[in-house]
Amino acid sequence: MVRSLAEHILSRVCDYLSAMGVELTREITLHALTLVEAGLSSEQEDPLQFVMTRLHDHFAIQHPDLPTTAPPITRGSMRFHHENS
Amino acid sequence: MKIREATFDKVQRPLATPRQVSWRMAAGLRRALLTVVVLAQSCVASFYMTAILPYHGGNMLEMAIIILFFVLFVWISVGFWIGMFGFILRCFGGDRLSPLGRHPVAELQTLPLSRTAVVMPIYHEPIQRTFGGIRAMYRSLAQTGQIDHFDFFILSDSRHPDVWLAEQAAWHQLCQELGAGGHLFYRRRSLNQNYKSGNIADFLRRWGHGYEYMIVLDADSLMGGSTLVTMVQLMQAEPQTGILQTSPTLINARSMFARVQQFANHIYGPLFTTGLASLQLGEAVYWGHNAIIRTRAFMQHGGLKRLTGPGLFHGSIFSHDFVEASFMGRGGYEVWLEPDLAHSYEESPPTLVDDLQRDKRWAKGNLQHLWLMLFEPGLRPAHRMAFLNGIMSYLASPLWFIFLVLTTIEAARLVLYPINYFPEPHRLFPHWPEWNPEWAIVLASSTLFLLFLPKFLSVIDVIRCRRANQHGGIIRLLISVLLEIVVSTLLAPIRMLAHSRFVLEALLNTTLRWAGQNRTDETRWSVAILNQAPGTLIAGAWGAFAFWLDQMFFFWSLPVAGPLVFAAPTSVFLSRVGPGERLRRWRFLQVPEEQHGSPLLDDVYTRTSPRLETDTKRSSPAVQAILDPVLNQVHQAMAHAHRGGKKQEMILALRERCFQQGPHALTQKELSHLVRDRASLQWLHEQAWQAAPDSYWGKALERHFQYRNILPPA
Repeated sequence: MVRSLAEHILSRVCDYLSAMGVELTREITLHALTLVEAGLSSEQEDPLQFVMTRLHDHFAIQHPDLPTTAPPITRGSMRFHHENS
Repeated sequence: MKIREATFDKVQRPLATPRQVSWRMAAGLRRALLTVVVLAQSCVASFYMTAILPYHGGNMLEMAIIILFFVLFVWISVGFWIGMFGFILRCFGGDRLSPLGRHPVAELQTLPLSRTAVVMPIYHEPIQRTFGGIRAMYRSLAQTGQIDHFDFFILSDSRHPDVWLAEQAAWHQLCQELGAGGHLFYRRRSLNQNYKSGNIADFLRRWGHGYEYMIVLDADSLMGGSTLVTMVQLMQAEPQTGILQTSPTLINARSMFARVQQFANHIYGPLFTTGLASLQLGEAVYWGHNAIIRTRAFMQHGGLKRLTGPGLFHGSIFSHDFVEASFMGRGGYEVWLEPDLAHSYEESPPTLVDDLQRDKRWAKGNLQHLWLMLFEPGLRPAHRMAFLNGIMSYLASPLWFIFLVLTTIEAARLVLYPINYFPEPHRLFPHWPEWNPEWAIVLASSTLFLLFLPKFLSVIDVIRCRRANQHGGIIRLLISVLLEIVVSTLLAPIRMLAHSRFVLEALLNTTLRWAGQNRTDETRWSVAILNQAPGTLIAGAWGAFAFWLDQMFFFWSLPVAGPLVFAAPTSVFLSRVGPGERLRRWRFLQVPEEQHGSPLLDDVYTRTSPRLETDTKRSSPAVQAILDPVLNQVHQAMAHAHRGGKKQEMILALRERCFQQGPHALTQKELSHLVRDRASLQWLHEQAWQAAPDSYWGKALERHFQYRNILPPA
């Protein structure tokens, strides 16, 4: 079934929010709909771009807590036989 | 800022203690005893061989046969006596001189632990198994209550961006799942210099000083938490020990081939490793994984130089582990093999083709050791003998092959040429050739006795230790051993010919491709035929010639020629999982873990991560790295910032192409450049989420989240 642009935009917003761990409650979904409405009624040529660039301003999206890749470097060297003798 | 290199104090070598004098005396006595029995046995056998040959060694051909026979018999005899030593020691409750024999568990438990890094170098390995293994070990270690003393490092040398992006994603997922942030690290080298040993050296240069010990694992290694803790405690108890090697048992075998290897490892392994350890004592070797290493000592003495000899003996050392052990020995540290450290596992290659592929690398690596054995100064004689042992593991095959060629020539000469009654000039009386077939049968029987007696002693050991039930009961155990003997007899000539080729290729210094190991796939007919065709043709021709020459000689050739003729079907059949699984259900070739299970193994093999598994199916790791908001940030955190210039221009062009056509429009190298660039990852992520629904990225998003929505939550 062919989807309308509005459906595409709403789907994209919901996908992004859920991927970032935001729970799609009734309030959040209504807020998303408001943002989609604003995007569609804006003068801007691309409503999708309008909505996606404003997501972080409209929703409390937490940045993921990333684990440390590596501990601080404590530089040393591998020694060879002739260096030891 | 340039980081200043930490300097070492003047090298301190541990002094010999009374304990060392004691084990060194025992080692000297045991090795002398081994030398005497092996040489005596080989001399008697060679005397028999001389008597069997028609001219009793009276010509060059027969002399060559006798010399080759002597060398090969010594080789078989060493294996036999190692098994005998192991059997005798196990009958008396194990070796009192082994590390665990000297330190009771109660004593070890009082010792405090030190900071230890568990390092796993990987190269294009299956993500599920590799990271599943890390997860199981981490959880097992957490259960001991000692996890705070350990950090895990995944050290990747993977080249393909789809592989290392998937590794980074799996690392992040594992950190989240285990709450292991700050204890589980990931590092990828963009330049994999000196292969695995270079990867470990790179780790040591960066973080070695932060850890007293380093436990080295392979991608398929698995070790129980309590074993890891005991290893650290043993190192704490013995400051002069530089490396402590465990004896890994094989697990998770599914194909026929792997199940036979696994069964043999469980049944015969304890005898042979106990025997080997009792002879090596503090001068054992390192097998490259499932071992603990004293970090500072290793950094002081374990540096590997490139070889400076001609041809094969020039460049990087392929098999680094034996060499590192010998260097530690030269530095005054001991290297111990402790077979009684349980819960140390690895996996067998699933097929004969994969097994031989691995042997090809090992053959070249071991032959390189000849240079070090002969010319490297200061090594202990025991480690030079370990090099010789490794070299002979592969050199025995071409020697056996030459022996067969010479005996064929001898048989042909007897049949086709007139008998020479005066082989020596100016001799008054004729020399009558004598043929004693009954002596030949006695000699062949005694060789078989040496080969198979240790196997039957292993069965006695299993029954004596009341372990028969773990292998399906006595009847199934005996049938399984017979099955293993049949399979190993079929494989021996195939291995002989393959190893002969590997040795020849190594001596000619042909280039080796460094590749990850296949750990799952079955062998296709086309691959098996291609691999085994040379052997089949040679054996077919040899068998036909033997039949034409002499019927008796033909029958003697059958045990070697037969398996080679049927090598391709043997290889395909043994690679099949179906027959292996059927035998497992019928409890043949059974090992204890299959009967009782094990929390550690269950954690790896029965617990799966549905998210990780299905994620790679719905979109490629590169697509995920761009689309998934969390993963994108993970990859960004691990990427670099470029400062402009020509490279930046190239990256800008790549990111545009990637945005228009998707990652598949880029070569592996181009994609690698792109996803290592932090700014490009961020730009592509933003652009993809704003892309029109009918564009490449619009469709990719739809596909990605369609899958995601039908998946159960991770």
